[in-house]
Amino acid sequence: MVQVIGNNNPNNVKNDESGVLIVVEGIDGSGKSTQIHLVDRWLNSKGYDVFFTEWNSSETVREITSKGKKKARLTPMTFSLLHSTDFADRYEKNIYPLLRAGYIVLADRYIYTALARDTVRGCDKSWVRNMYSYARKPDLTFYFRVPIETAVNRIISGRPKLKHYEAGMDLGLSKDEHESYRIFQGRIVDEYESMVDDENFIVIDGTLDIEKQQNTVRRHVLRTLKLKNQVQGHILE
Amino acid sequence: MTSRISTKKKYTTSDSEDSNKIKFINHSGIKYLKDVEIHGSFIVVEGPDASGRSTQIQKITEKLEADGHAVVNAGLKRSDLISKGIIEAKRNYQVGRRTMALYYAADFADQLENKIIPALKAGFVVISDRYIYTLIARSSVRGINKNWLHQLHSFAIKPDLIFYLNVNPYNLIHRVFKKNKSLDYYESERI
Repeated sequence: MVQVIGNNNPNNVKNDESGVLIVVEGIDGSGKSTQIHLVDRWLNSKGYDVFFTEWNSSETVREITSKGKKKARLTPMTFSLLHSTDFADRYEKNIYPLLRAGYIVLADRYIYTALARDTVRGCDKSWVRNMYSYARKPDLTFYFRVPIETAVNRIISGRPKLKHYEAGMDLGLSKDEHESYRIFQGRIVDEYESMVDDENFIVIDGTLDIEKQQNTVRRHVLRTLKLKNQVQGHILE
Repeated sequence: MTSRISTKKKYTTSDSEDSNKIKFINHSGIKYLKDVEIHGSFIVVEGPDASGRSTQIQKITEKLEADGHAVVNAGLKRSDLISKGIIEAKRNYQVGRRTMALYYAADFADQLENKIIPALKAGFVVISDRYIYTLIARSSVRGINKNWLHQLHSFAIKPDLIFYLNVNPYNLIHRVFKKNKSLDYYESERI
């Protein structure tokens, strides 16, 4: 049985997959990818079976999504459904079977990204929730909290031109790309913040030093691995 | 030989003020389209492969056009953006059942928003060759939870008229062989 995240789903359903699912969430520029990358390196160096998966990376679907994005012809519904297709493909092919095989699966963005973004774009929240209800609840979800200006400046400083959907230009929030991006990211943050308690996010202060954040993250990972009896002797070294 | 045509459901429009308002299957529907006004009619023809849908649609279209109604034909897997991806995905047989269900739903959403709803807004009669009922049935027999499927497709709009062409499987197989000399892999998948 897969534990499902859904409206009428009790939180105490037992996972019987032996694997461990670790997720990072946060807006672009929150530093989450850097942190999960370091976890990946760490666990790999300790000899764990690790699989890393990224949002919007299914080979079958990505091409269509990026074509639709380039032509700016995706509606909030098709945007949502294509990302959900992408997720399902990775879930059916990799995430689910590997968790069953006992892997540690690291996910850079998970269903919470869809819940936040699609809702901001105007899709019905319970509809989006249902779409992802088959997905297993993570053992650990790190949420990287940063002030919007910090995140936005990290992204914009290296890139004068934002992509159409990335900037939320499809929402008509502002004619100015950077202004639209700020408003859009702000709304996504509100959605994330509303999930912190219910979804048991572990909030990481994304303004701290990278090393400091990584220490906290590793401490939580270690605790979870212990809980799931997954610790290999030499990880504590 | 003839298919039995049964009218499954008929939604009569009331004379109330919002009778032209778009009607979704689930009340929440597509939130950002909830104020759209519909001036056309929406007819769906459902039925399995070789049940005679195209023939019936052709006849209905001819009749309606002869009477001066403008008709738009729609169907599944026809959105130019997404259908290519579906064809490609099916070719490599690597795609899971839930992924396929979502892919089809995405394709359907594209058609609904970019073709069906705009045509209905403009006063066309839209005839859809298959609709979400086909999508739900196909995935459901492949083991996907029915309730999940119904909710997934609940952003669809309510048809004014749904025809279901009811032909027994024995006759269907014969018709398919007559047409193609073979069965399509996905249409005949072992369950």
